[in-house]
Amino acid sequence: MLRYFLENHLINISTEHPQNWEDAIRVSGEIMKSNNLVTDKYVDQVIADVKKYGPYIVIVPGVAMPHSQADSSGVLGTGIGLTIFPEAVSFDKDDSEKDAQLFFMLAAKDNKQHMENIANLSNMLMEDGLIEDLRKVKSLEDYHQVMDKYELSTEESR
Amino acid sequence: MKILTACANGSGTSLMLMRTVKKTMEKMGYQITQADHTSISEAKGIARNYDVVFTSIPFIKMFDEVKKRGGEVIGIKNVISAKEVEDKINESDIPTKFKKN
Repeated sequence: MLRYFLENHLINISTEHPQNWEDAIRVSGEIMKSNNLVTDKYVDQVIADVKKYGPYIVIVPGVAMPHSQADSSGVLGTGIGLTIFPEAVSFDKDDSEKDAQLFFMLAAKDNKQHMENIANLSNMLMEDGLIEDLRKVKSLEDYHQVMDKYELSTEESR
Repeated sequence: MKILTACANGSGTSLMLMRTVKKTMEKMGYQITQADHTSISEAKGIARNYDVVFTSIPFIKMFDEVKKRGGEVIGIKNVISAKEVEDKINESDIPTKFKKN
């Protein structure tokens, strides 16, 4: 899965810290838009969903999975894009468990492919230590190092 | 046992949770005959067709009716944690209501 982000140009290591969570979601939409997976409409929907339902997209401390309705007209393709910020972004100032630094934005046009992507992503996130290691990534070189470390144990996709 | 997982959209978190729950329950020895994932709005209507509903904690209050009817509703904080799923199942009525293989 780590290789998937790299090979599909779906990784963005941001050097700038976003102003707030909304900005962070917009930035994580960039890599999706440049790959023709989603449009701004989808990104707006993701933000509206978080405003409506709360930061449920932070699935584990440190990790956000921004997504909205799969049948949205703003979804053009199927894929997951990873954006890594230099520091954690706060969604709820009273709950630091809802801080996130790794943003995995989802787009799901093809259901079967999406199921596979989610399966690979959850297997990857379940690897001991991987989330911590990814949070320390500041450059593509760092990313390659993390990839080398987990390569043998992660299932590959695509 | 028929299980349903639900989250806001029914396409991301609920799908991840479904994988975790299915894997964990099968490992624990429960027989899962059906596993589906859906959105909160749809889940309310179809929950009656399932034995257990799993959802992330912020949405648990949406299922008060299901609970009133005696249905099992389990809130999960970390949707990829097999350990949390296992602990929550053991704390629920599932072990007394359903037998393992």
